[in-house]
Amino acid sequence: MKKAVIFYAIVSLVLLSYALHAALVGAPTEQTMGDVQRIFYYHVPSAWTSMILFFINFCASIWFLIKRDVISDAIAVATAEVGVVFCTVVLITGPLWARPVWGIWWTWDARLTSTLVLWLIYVSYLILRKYATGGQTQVLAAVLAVFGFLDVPLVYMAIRWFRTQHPQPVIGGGEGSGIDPRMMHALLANWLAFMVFAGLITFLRYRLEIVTREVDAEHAKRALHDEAAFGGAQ
Amino acid sequence: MSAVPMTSATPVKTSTPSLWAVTRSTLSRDFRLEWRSKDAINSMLFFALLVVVIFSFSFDPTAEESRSIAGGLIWVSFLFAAVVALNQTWARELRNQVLDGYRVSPAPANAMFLAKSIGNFVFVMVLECLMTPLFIVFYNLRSIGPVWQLLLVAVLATWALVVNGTFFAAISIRTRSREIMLPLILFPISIPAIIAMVDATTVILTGSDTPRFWMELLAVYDLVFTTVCLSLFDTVLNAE
Amino acid sequence: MNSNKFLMAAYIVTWAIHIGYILYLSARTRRVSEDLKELASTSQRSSLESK
Repeated sequence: MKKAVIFYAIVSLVLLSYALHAALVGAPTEQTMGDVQRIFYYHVPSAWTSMILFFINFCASIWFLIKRDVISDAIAVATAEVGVVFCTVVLITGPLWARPVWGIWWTWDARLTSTLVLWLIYVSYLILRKYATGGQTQVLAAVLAVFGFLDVPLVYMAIRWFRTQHPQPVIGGGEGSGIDPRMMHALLANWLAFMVFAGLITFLRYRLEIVTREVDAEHAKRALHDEAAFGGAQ
Repeated sequence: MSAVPMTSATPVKTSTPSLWAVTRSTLSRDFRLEWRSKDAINSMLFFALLVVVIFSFSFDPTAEESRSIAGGLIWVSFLFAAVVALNQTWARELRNQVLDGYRVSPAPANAMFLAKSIGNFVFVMVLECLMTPLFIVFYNLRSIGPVWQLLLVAVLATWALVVNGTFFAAISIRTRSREIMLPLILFPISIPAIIAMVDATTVILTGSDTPRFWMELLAVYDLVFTTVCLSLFDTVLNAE
Repeated sequence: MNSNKFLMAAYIVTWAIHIGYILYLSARTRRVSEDLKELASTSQRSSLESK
């Protein structure tokens, strides 16, 4: 298995390097924004990747509520954590792009704000997992994940309407604005590379979760066993 | 009924109590207890008053400005007052192991949730009714839009906060640092509702637009999350 | 030229975050596998003692 992981890691490294080249060199310079626009090739794929990870978390949480098995819960926690990592990247690259282009750090851009709310929801999910006591952690977290994901369309609608009331610059251009094919290529290359990379990291996190559970279970078993052995001897 | 005399061999007919019966009895019990002790009410009232006063010191707007910012200020203060109320929702039940007893009873789990939510709703509405005159006084508020719309927004918004708040309060009692855990998981999910209630209130106060979209959003939010809460409360109650 | 600073910052921060997370994961993984090794060795010892 270790060989497979190393092979997969090399593949993602190659893809990421190729995509980086496409983003910085292959894609042409944007007319109005200049080279800063290249942040787009990291900002947007990270956003798409985190949405997909959160969607997987939603499915895994529902599956867990039905089946109550270890695997779906481990998938849930892994995708949530890696999703938050990618989401953090989106939230930092966004302002770094907005500032030189529009002179402002933040804008109530529908997508950026939805990303912020999603980040808040999943960070609260991770904190709940950390602070819940006892065996109910997984169930409670899965329930929160369901709430969180159902909230997302409402968040998007609210912010879209808010923006029509208070017009703001849109980061990343409007939907379907014409895009140069070389830019599209760089965008898709980075998306593929980040998806492959995310898959690797999520798998590693998933494995860590499974092994941690087994170790904890073994510790608990030993503790009970010791207690039985020594308690009985008295 | 049957003419056969009751003996120890005759099984007693039991029926699962109806949702509304249990809800009503739990609700009236809570009201009676609250009324007798006035425990939570007094401290929360004072907290609400303090919030209003402190916000009034922080912002000293002209009449024109006050209409455009009052919406946000009012709902933020209601939000904090509501959290204080929500945090003690299940405290009494925990102290007396009522939840354990409830779990083994045939009563539907939703009845307890409904009772608590409705109780919290009434309580927070009372808080809002008491805090609003203070805001009107401190900010010299006068609404340009119709007041009945403000009332409707208040009802929809309060239910939005309370239904999720009651549910998450049940989750947070199973965590360490439960008092901070409730707002921590409640606030992010409430964001669309908060945007809606603040903007609806602002739009009505300033008379700049119709609040229809915001009210519809709040209604949808209420519908979606009331359904989700009712469906999942059983899971949370029995999580062990 | 100034705007390129933001471009560099964005790319560097992205990788700082990803590498930071990977380091965090490997630290935790190392701890768990040490734990696992210790468990394995103590179980061998106790099964030897019980014979």
